[in-house]
Amino acid sequence: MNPTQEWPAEWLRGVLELCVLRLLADGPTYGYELAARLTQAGLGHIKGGTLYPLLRRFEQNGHVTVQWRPGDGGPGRKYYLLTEQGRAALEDLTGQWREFTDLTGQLLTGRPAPTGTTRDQEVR
Amino acid sequence: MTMSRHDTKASFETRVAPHVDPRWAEQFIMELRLGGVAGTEIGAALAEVESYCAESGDEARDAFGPARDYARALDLETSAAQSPRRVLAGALPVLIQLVGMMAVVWSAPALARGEDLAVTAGMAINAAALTIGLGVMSRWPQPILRLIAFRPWIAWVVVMVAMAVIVVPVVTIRVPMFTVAAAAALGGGVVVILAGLTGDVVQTRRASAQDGQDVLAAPLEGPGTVERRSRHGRWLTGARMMLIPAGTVVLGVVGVLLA
Repeated sequence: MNPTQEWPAEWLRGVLELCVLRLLADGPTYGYELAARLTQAGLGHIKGGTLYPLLRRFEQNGHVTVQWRPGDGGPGRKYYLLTEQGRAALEDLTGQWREFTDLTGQLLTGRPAPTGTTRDQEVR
Repeated sequence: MTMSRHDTKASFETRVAPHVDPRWAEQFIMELRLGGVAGTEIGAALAEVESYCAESGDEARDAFGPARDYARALDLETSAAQSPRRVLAGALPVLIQLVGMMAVVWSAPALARGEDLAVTAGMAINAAALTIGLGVMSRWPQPILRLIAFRPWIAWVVVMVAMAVIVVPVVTIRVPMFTVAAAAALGGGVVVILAGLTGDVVQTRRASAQDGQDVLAAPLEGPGTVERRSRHGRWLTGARMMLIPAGTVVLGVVGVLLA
């Protein structure tokens, strides 16, 4: 996995919310650490100008609560804690994403979609 | 401990965000203030930028983009103290004092000359223009403040034109509409100023009791630091309240001396 990989911005915009929720599910964390873990996971460099407005929306939507803690010999850090509502959103989005990636994966590999699927029935 | 306004402002940005370009921080704070965001929210947002820049080593502009764009992207709520209703309520006592000020400034020279005050059409236009101007500024403070902050040359031209509209009629349109005893006009003006000042004090205290003093404050700041900043803010508020009464005295004396 190449941590310096730069993915198309449109792809990242679609998946960043889900990825951040997933990292928050591991425990309380703060903005820079989230950005660093996203980079280590191979999503490229996520700028603060992209990440923090997303965290702000999580706060407004009740997906997270926040807590300021003194830093380790440095400035204070704003920690984000995933709420039950946030966990429910994570679960919901994860399910949708898996279904979406299954569909796109099949499309790209040219494999026919399995019959009798819910989505197949919706198309009919 | 006495702090100048400049020292207090510079100290906040330097103390809260030493790893952030001061100019970026200043624009960020200004944009949020113009958006009516509360001081504590501004402090928290700036502290978070500082936290990121301190650990990443990135410049604020590189990590967060232009300060104004990032401030808008955060979509922070407007504080109740900055709502249009509150701003208008705060402007009304000032408007009342301005009316009293005009009465005193116009009547003082006439009283010194032993004459009645001749209220001209130019004075009426002057009063109407001031009222409308203050009303517009109170109803739409943010666009006007943005113009002053980010387009200072355009704002300067607008102010010059506004002053001309306000001052020129008094000087050029001298058609008398009616006369009034100068002493009565001056006394009435003083009463109106005192009434407006009382209203200003009451309004300010009520707003402070409801919302607290809206000072810039960062998370984890010591209560002593915030209290010093609040005290400085109260001093500035008191000075602001005395601006019209003091200006009235000065202009009244000048008018009498020139009469």
